[in-house]
Amino acid sequence: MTIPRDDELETEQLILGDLLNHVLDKGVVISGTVTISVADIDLLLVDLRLLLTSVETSMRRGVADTLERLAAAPDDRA
Amino acid sequence: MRTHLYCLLPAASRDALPEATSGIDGAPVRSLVFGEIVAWVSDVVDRSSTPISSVRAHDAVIAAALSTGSTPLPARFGQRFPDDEACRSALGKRYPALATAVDAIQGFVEMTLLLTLAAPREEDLQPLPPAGAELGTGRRYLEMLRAREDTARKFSENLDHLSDGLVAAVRGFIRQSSVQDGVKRPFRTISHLIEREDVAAYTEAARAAQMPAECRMLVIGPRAPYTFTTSADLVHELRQVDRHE
Repeated sequence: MTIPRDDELETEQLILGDLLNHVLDKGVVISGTVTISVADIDLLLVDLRLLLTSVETSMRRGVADTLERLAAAPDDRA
Repeated sequence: MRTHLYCLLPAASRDALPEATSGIDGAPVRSLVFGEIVAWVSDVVDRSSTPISSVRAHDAVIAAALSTGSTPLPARFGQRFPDDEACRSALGKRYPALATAVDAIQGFVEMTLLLTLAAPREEDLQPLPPAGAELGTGRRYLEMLRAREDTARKFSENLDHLSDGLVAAVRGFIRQSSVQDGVKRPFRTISHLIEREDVAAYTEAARAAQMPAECRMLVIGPRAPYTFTTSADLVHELRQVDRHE
């Protein structure tokens, strides 16, 4: 069995963290509803910003979409 | 079953989807044509939480789309629709902006420069013992922690200077740029939108940039322009780019 060196492990962790930051927090949103609940991720590998941004972005988008819907369909306000 | 959205491509690449392309849970990827855009989707089963393999599969499908020669507009992970018709309907609601964005990113890719502190070498972390004194195990450990923190602080203080030097090396290729700093540790992610034909030259220039020993730099890409599809100004800004300069 080959034991990965610290450098290799760290490189893998960096690349995984970068992948998660891109796939979960970037890219075009079409539906306005993004559901993310990822299991098996060691949060130590992921920069905290990912979580903060995801929550903030979700909230911002949620509010924006709600406003958009209300503007488009005033009758739904009731 | 629900319809999971991976990315959008120009209609011209409607036949570019390789037959054996599989997505999340190995489900075959199929294309939905809507006007001048094509959406790559697959069926998925709803779960209470998503395994990391699904995140990787999402990215792999987008990478496969990029390898067709077109540039996909990547969809953020997690967008699932009750069925294909619901997906088409959602695309229809934002069709003009999406079609323009898909057209605008053609010929471009994203490259990422990741700057962080190199894993410390043990010999760099050994404290110099005070003259005539032997260090105990506890003191030695605390001194090692202090040396590590000093290195991290120095790196953070120099981050702007380091990234300026790095960006200067690739400046000629950059069409758009985005910088994100880490929260938990000294860390900077620099994303650049560049022309596809410049990937090799960009990578070579970035790797040739001089970095100090305490700094670690990774070049990641090319990949679909995830970072630059988030910006509301994407379409406007890209329209200003004269690709034939």
